[in-house]
Amino acid sequence: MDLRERKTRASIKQAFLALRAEKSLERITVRELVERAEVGKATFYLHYRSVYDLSDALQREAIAEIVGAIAEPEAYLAAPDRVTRQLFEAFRTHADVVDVLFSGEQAGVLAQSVEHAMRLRVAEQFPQVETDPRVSALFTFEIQGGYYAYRAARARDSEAQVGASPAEQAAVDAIAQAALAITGLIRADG
Amino acid sequence: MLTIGCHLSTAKGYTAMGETACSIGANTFAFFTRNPRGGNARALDRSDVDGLRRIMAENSFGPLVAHAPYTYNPCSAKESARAFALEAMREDLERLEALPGQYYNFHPGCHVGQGAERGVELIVETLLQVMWPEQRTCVLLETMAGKGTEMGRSFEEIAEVIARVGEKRPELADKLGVCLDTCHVHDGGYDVVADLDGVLGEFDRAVGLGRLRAVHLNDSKNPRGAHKDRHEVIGAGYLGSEELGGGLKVFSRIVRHPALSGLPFILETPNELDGYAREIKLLRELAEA
Repeated sequence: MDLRERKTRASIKQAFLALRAEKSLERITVRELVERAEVGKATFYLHYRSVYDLSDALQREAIAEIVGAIAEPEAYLAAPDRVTRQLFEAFRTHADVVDVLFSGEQAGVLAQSVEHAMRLRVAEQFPQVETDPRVSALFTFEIQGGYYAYRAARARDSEAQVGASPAEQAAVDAIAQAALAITGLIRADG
Repeated sequence: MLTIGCHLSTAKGYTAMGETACSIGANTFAFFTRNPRGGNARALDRSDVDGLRRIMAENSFGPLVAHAPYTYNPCSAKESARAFALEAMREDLERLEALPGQYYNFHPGCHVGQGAERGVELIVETLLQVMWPEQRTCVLLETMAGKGTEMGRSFEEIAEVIARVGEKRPELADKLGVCLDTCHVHDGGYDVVADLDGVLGEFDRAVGLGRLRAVHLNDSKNPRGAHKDRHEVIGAGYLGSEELGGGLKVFSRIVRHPALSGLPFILETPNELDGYAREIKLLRELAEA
């Protein structure tokens, strides 16, 4: 991607995040988006099929960054507590973008997408995560359960936005322990 | 062997698209006919095009499916928008003569309140003006989801356009075909999930299966008949997900259906290249299973 293309994409992204912070995905029009981004409508359609397509692309980008921030996601089953901590650290670092992109009706997409991305990485070394229904269910429970527990803890904790508060830290510790225990169940099949 | 690929960026030229296609296991691809920056298409670089030809020959590619930009509306109520679509489509078709791609796919457009009858008239008028009898490229009307005033929402509507072009210029009608988008027809109300044979039978009665030249292979984020047009990755939507009432068997039936055999399948799913590579691999496995 050349510099001009990167700049175009960056201004479309910024304009979209600003609009998305104001309203739901369904209410954003291409017209207002390109006006704010100062690009032509044709240019927008060269990169994206629709506002939804743009939202999907930015969500994928965010997920890739979150999962990419984990040193060795494929080592998940060897050190689930460490990977879990890194995962929530990544959530916190990307909170500003993630909270906007996955708000409203898009809220459910995040946990599913993170699970999907993690699953692909883990499956490279541990195919049972895809092929064994029991392992697969436990893995979903581990990732999605951990995510929702984390999100609920953050919602209850008014200081969560400014950094890792003691309450948030306690929640992450508990989820990391739960991940260890669940991985124990997975290994019991081994 | 299944002819399958995805939409690729033209930014680095034609040879690069061929190389990218090979790198993800594709043996066809789709691309926008023009970079709409300033309205002017990139000038053709012969050696770049020859590079693509070589790659296609060496890797037994199927036909490529060029795609008109989404901004054309040949049945707009505004004269200026129609004139732009006309001009741009003619230029696209002229340029495609120098490219190895055999298909030019376009969205029939939106009648924006003028009514479907007027929409059909305007699309027919446009096609009569942009096509010529000796052209090599086959122009494909895409089946649409029917959101808003979108044309091409039913097989009958598409058949009507083709029939009227045929009445006026039979020699042009031979160069017209259809690209069936699995997400769009599902969103448009056709039961691709439970009754693919029925859907293709309906297509055959309305348009004729001989006209079917390409397939856009997409899952859908919405239930049948939603008229939404939101593509989903293969296996995660209403076509391919068991939780949502479909399953991979739906895609298996599509890629193995005798009526679709040999057609280029183009993925337009929300993915990056690695995701496309996985989907291509999966669909090849389904086709060969």
